[in-house]
Amino acid sequence: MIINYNKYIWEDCISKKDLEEWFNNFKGKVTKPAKEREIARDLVLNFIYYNEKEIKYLCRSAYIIFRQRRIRELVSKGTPIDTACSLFDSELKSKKYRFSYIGQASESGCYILYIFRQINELPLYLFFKDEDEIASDTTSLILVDDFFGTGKTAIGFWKSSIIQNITRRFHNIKLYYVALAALKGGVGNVEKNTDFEVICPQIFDEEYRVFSNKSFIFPEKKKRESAKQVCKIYGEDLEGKKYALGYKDSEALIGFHHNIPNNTLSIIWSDKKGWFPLFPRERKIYK
Amino acid sequence: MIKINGFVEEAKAIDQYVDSEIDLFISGISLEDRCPRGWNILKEKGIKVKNKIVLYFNEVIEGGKQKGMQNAEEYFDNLFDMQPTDCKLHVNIYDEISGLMEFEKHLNEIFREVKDKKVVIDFSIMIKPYLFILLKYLQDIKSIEKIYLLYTEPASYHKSKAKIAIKDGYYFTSGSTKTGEIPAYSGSEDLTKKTALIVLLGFEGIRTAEVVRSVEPDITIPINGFPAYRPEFKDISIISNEEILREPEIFKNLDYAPSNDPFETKNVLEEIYSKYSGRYNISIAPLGTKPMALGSCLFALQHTDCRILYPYPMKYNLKASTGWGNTRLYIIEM
Amino acid sequence: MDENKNISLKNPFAGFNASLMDDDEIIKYWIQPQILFERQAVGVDLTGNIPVLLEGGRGTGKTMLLKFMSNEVQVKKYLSEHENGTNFLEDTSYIGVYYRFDGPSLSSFADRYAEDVIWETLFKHYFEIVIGQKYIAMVLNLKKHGCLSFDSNSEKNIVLDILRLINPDYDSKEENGTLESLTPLLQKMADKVFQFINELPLSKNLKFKSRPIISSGKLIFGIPHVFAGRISKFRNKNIIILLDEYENLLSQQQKIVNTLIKHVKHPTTFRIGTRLHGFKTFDTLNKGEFLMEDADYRKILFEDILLSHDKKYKDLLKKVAKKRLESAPEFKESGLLDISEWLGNLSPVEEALNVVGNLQKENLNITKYKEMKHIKEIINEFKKRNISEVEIDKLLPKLIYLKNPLIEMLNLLLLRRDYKTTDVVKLFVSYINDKKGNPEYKKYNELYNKNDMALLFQLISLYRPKQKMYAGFNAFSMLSSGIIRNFLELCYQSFNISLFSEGKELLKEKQIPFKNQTEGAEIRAEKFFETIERIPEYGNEIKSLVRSLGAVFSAWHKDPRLKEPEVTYFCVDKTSLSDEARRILDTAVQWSVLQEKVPMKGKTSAEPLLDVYALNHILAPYFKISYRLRGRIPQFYEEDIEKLMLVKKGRKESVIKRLSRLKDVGKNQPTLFDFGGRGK
Repeated sequence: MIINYNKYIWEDCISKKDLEEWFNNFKGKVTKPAKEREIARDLVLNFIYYNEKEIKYLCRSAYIIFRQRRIRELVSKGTPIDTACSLFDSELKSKKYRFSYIGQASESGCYILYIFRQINELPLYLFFKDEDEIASDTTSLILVDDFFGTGKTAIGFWKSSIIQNITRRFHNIKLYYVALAALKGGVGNVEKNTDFEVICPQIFDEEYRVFSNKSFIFPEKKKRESAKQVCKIYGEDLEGKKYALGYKDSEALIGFHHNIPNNTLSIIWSDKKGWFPLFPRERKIYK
Repeated sequence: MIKINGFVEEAKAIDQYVDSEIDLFISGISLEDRCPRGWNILKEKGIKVKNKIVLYFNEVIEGGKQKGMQNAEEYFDNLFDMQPTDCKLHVNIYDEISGLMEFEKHLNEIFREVKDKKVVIDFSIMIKPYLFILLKYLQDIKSIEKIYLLYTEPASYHKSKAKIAIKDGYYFTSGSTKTGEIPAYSGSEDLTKKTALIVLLGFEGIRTAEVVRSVEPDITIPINGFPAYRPEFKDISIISNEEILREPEIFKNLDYAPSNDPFETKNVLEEIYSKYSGRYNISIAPLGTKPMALGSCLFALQHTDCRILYPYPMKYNLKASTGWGNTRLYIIEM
Repeated sequence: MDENKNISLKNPFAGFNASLMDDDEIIKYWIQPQILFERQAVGVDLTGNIPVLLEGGRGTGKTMLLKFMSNEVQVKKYLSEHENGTNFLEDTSYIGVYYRFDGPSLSSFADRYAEDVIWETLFKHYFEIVIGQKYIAMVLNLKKHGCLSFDSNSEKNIVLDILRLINPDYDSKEENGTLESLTPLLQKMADKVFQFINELPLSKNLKFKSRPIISSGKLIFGIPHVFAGRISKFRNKNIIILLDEYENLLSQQQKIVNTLIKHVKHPTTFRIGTRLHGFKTFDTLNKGEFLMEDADYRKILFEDILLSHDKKYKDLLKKVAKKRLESAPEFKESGLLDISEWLGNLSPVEEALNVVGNLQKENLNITKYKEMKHIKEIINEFKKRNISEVEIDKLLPKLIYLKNPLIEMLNLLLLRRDYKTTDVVKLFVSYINDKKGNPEYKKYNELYNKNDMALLFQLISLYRPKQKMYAGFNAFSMLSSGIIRNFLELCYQSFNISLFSEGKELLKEKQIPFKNQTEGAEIRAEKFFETIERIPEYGNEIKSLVRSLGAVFSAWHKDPRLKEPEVTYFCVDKTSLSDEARRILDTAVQWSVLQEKVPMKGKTSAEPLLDVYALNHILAPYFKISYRLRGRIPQFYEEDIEKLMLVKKGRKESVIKRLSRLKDVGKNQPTLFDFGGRGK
């Protein structure tokens, strides 16, 4: 089973040795090693990983959703579908829609934007770096990111000077926050605390929080609590309370070809104190 | 070649498109919870329905009786608020052509001209061959120009990623499978070309393998439903179809189309068609979601040289899902 | 992450399906199966005049052979070996034209909205068009590659002749004289057929109006005749129509093609690839007429031929595997291209020693040895004979043989079969002292050779949870049951597991661990078992039968007295089965779930021959049984076979119990579901 996951979904990046080393991390700190490893196995089999091809397609999906929304707006006003499609294309050509990324230049948003541009065959002139490049007839700004869990980055960006200046200068401009995937709680936060319209092809609701009452991975309470303990104890030891069960207890089990978000359970990605990570995370150095 | 356009809308916005009244509502019965959702949405929105045609699949009635329903037919009558003027078509789930004949008979009784009528079809529980043959009939014979289709996702198929290790390979069907061409979608074969098979992947890898074996195409292009209704479904369909995906040439061709968007599915098929149709005869096997199947149907209506293949099962599982999720409205102009 | 990533090591056995291979791959992976091409071996000429039926299960190599014989592949191969194609036609005795019957398409040639006679006419017309087009494509292919040339006048005449075949009333002023122009003409005729098929479901009473309609044989025999008459290089060449997947044709369609086979006209002939029992009928369209073997066609049974030449089959497997290994750069560079080395060989003795723990080097410590499970069984036998503890301690060393636990098991078997203790000792001593002239040696040796594998099964059953290993080149070739694809699949699964667990280290180790091979064999067996129920029409019944047979055979493997060692086959009087049961058996054979063996004589000369069926050996790992055919063939009676196929679970259990003769089996009697798959 895991051989197939590795081959077809995880891009062949795990060897049996990796898996064994990761299972060997669980030495019976919380319960019997065999039980801990059984929990670990369940987690691995439910880990949702987006490989390179899928990331490209999520970029495509996000764009399609954006396009569909615009067409819907036009059709609901009485425009025939055919005309609405042509109208969208001409609006695109005349730079009514502009694209950029969320975060800093070397962060994942920038990387995703590159893929987004390529897969959707969007011309370079539609992409902007600072507000001076935005024209007065621009109707929509689309800001691209890979993933958000709590929405902290987006909320922070909303409050940043660049966005505040834009909203001050261009009153009718619509702002879209496009993420390939997000946790539902985060989507709610962004919608509540900003005027961003969120576009997200893949939203993880409460069922995907590994230890929530609605968890589909551990639907049975007893097993769920036992699993949570295991992840919590090991995780706290590795990354502290804040990140043990994923950043601010996001309890996610998600990974991408280019990185693993810190919202994912730390036992998956941590490499501290001799812990062997199954899917290591590239850490950011801010200072 | 006809031109087909369309877009996806939330079903709750249906009243913005059809106003307060529609001429014909078509649906079918099922033991699945989402069966009456389309009808209920029309009721919630206060949309009047002048005529109703509901396919009463004999096997579903029988299945209902076996599950202890006192009066299965009456149950569905109530579910769809059937009136004496409404039309109940007793049809066989395995025989879409006979079903069509019944449908045609009653449709002709209602009106001759359909092209300017407001027709809404809830295809959530419709067996795919029925959907295909109905749309072909409405488009080809009745020249319909605009059609509204409703689809309700299931809430759950009872399958988690971890459970796909268990070899209950049948979710929706059981028994043996025989691959055939959906009637009226036999396409046309260019005798000088090779064969390309596009498979929209579902959860039943056994049926996918059967289709590939029966056709033995020169090239196979699998399309995974992604984004899927649920994030893990993209992996379930891959693992379930391991038997064909293990061929490196096939895995290399893997492409994607959104599970809930027939128009984007159609676009993906168009791209593949433009790439391969010069050298290959194209066959399509819609084993994925029904919206994806709808997309392949729209594509085949436009490209009549392509054939649609379907692995007809010995038996359908009459209750493969529970609950209901989002309902979407697909507005199609032809 | 481990540096030793698998990503660059390609599984050499991925992508082994001949039906999905293009022409270059067919040539690349082709191995000439000498045993099929040797006339002496099979009495059949694969390139001669007489039609030949190639019968075999999926994966036996029929498609590969037919495609290999096609003109496209033969020309490509010729050009790869010669400077140009000028002498191609001189150097060959035949030209092949390949066509595969597409099942889904064929079933559209029959539905209720038109009469049978219309479908019959339409199918004949369509088949003529398709083969006609194949002929045109063949000549154009030969021309393109310089194998053939003719001047425009000759071409005009050929085209004219063909057009007159299509339409006797043809007006010569219309044509432009090139063979290329025939393609769109034939295509247009085919399009009319498709149009009719597409429109019919929605517009009943539709008439097929296109004209002309080509009658059966007109182009199929006519065009080769034109070629032979007009093109000198075609004289004395056979035009072989290579028809694949004949079983996909409906019965009436088969009658149409059977008629062509029956009345075949030189230079045309046929090679028909079909599954076993793929012919729904041997009748032709003419009343009372049917195809007769030897008179009208010759037959090759792939599995039979391959299995009956063990060494040649193994050589073939090695060659096929070598080509696969060569296709993976790392394996090719390493020079490790011999699959028999990759798989090694696991002898029953080696396996037995692994099971008990290798004690060869240890000093004989009788107390420790008495703890061993199989030795305990010997002790129990002694106790049953009221032998005292003191005597047991004296006797035991006389029956122990550290080098080979199977010998110890044989001694146990003899005791269970009520041999006197002294006799057992005598036989054993004679054997280990290598007294070859001695009758005791001969007897013991025979017993050992007959029962070694069976004894291994018994040994393993005492050492649960240890399981039987299915590993080694010999084991894999036997598991494959004459089906090359099965062998490749076994290799694929084994390499898949090893590439994941060992990564690049595999190239250093140079052998697939036996454990991984066993796991690969179990995966393959499980997949094969799972697919049984999707066999059209009788999948459930066949699965029921197979499951029951597996239970019975598995029980016999556990029989302490080994009355029937390693039996994995049975015989039945097929003539006394119901029609349905017979069809179920035929379908099982068609899909290679069961394999037919040479019929055997009934108990008396007055009784009919009994049909012999073996369970496909690929299933052996699933049921944990042998992959050999040993022992007397048990006869199952009609009622039993029918119950095993057609009756509900409860009643089946009683039949299985009776057939297993479970009263003679010790504890751990298997139930219907007491095996199956890995780790169960």
